[in-house]
Amino acid sequence: MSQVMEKVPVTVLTGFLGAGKTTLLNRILSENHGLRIAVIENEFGEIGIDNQIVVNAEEEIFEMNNGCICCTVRGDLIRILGQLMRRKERFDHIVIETTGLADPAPVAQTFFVDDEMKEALRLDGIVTLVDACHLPQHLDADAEALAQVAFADVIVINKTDLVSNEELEALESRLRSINAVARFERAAHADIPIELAIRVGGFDLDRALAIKPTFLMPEWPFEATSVYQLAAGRYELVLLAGPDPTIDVLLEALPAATEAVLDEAEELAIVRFTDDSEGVIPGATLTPRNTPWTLDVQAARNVYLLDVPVAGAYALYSQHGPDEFSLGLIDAAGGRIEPIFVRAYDPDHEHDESVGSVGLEIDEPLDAKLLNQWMGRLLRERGVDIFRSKGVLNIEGQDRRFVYQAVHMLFEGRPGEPWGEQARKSQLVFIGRNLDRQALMEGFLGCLA
Amino acid sequence: MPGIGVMPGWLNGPTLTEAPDAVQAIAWHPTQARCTVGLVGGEVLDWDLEDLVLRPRRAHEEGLLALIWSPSGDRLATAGQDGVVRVWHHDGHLLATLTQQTAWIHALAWSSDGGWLAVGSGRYLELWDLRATEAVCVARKGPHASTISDITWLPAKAGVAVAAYGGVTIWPSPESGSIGSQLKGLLFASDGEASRHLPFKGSLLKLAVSPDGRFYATGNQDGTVHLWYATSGQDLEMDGYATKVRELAWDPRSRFIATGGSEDVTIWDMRGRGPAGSKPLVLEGHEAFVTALDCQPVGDLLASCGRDGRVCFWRPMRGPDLRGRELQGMLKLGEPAVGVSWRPDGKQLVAAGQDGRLLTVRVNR
Repeated sequence: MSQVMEKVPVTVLTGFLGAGKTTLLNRILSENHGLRIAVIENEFGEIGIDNQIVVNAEEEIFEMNNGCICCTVRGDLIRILGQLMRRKERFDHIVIETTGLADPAPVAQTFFVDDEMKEALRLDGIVTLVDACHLPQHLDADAEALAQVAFADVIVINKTDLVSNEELEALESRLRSINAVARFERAAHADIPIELAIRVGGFDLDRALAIKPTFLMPEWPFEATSVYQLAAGRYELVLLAGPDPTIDVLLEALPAATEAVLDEAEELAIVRFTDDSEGVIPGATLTPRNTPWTLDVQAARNVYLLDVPVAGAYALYSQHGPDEFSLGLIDAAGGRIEPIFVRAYDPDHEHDESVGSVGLEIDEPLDAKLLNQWMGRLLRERGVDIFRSKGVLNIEGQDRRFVYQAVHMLFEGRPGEPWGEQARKSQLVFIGRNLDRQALMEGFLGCLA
Repeated sequence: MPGIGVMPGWLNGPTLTEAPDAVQAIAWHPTQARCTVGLVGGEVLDWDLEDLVLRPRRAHEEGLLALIWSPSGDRLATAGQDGVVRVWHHDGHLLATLTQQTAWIHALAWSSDGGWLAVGSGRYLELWDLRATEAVCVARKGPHASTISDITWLPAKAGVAVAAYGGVTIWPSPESGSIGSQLKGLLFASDGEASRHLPFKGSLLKLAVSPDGRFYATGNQDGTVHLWYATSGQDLEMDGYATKVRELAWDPRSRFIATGGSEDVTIWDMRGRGPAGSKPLVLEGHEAFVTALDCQPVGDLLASCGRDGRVCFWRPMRGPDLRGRELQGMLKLGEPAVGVSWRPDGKQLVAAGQDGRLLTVRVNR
């Protein structure tokens, strides 16, 4: 019998007209990357370029008769890929380009519904190219642009040379509010390394989901972070009476007093800030550590002692803004220490996009049967609105991770890597329209073993 | 030698040969001991079953998708991913190259008199007049809802049936201005319009009209087989298949239709009122999906092959009853099989594998 063959990875390339897909495709076809790649696109007849192959496909979208109203597939791909896979010379990779206005769902779903496709091919991921200049208009006007962003495993922000840094940051932040789990890449002329563009691993969940803790939280647990550069020694932390009788703070060392360092650190701080805190009264001595303190601030003036063991950068995360309590840091000589910078957080970081992401995480093990029932019902009822969902799950009694992913209502799950020494936890992400975090979390908690 | 599973005395001299590429299609010459094998990469092999010699020639620059002998065996038509159809003299020289489109061509069908060739060029049906020296395209019909997956001429050239997404479309025969007399009770065809559309919301992969013309059967992407009664247009559906159904084979006497779409061969009784409400005969002998079926043109045998590399022989009819579920014989190809085809006299069979292995066996029964 013939040996079991490695499945050929498939990358789906989406993006509006002018986003740079053609430039990227030409690079994929012409650069010396040593891979034999088949490209399926909409413009040319079949032409061979060097060792590569380009096949023309008319987007033939079929509804499937499986009682699932959102289940459409690309019939042309089943036909063409089925044929390509029969050739003796094997491809290392297949890239499917969609037309600018295409909904990525039918392409992705094709790899879930057809046995032949499932046997020979593996959907590696969906790459969406966006034009930094024009995407904001598209997002406002076209449901397709939103869908392409929502479906993506990788979002390449192209033409970054045409916009300011601020515009770029604003765009990326907006895209993250739609799709919080995609990997972001930036490019000026679609000039990202080919490997990054086609080796996506978006459907390869053996590793943990790249969920940022900020995204798991319904909102920031702290309103401000004051970053200080401190010498070793004893300080006084002074707070005046404010609107609340207590305030939670977390004091942690940082590698450096920069915005970039804080970007990294605050993700972890979010998790730590929600840990059980230790309640203290004025006069107590605080030290940098990774659990929070609850400070009593009922008196008119409340003074805490702060021991800094080594000189360096420190972040003071505070439940409320420092101004509300006139928070001040005084050194041993009685001088007031000004923070290097203060970062304030919008207490409500929900965005008003109709399409967004919800990430859920719980540590306790789940019951496989309950989970299956809940997920089945959820996707049946809400599958039209849930574009993508992915999860790495901690199932009771299982040594391995259970990895799960779905495109609309079509889902697949299988055992992943063993947990080994790593902390067991379940992470689940939904990307879709009008998602209700509260309801999803309640449903998820209902699956606890 | 092929591995032998169950080899009764009437299977003689099984022989294996290797083709240089994966097999896409096989077509027996209508009268000679000669089978043409189309390879995925665009070559065809002329396989002489007397001396077992394979003679290759290039037919298409890109992949080959379909090939078919004319009913008299004077010409062979091949189609490919290069978007053209080539018509070859039986001695192997090229007679004509048809169509200028770029779309892949998956379906070809000769009219019973060999005068016409129906070509599925992307979403369009093209009807080519090959009666004169110069080939002429007399009609280009479409676009259909998707690329045409299969084409069949109706008996007595009563029309051309085309399968695509959304149903079967029947186009008038190019020779008859009025086909109403031949298709009773149907919409009358005005020029350029389909004479009939048999709707089914799904992607049709394979079309097989019963030899007696009573039924149209299609195998579909969604794991169903759909049937239409030719006269009334009434339809019924058989579901529950494990995968898409591309394997359909009619008994030459139209008593049953054999279907694949799973590890079993499922046989529906088509006599009398048809299969509505009946239980099919299920033939269990493969350990992986069935990939092709062919009924012995003369005789009672049914051959099936599968991804398990097995070539199985069955005899579904036991006297007047459709009850023969026992495996009659079995050969092993040694790699996933992609096609099986009986010689028109029913005395020999070839099977082909996905990596190019070819098996032939004589059948004295």
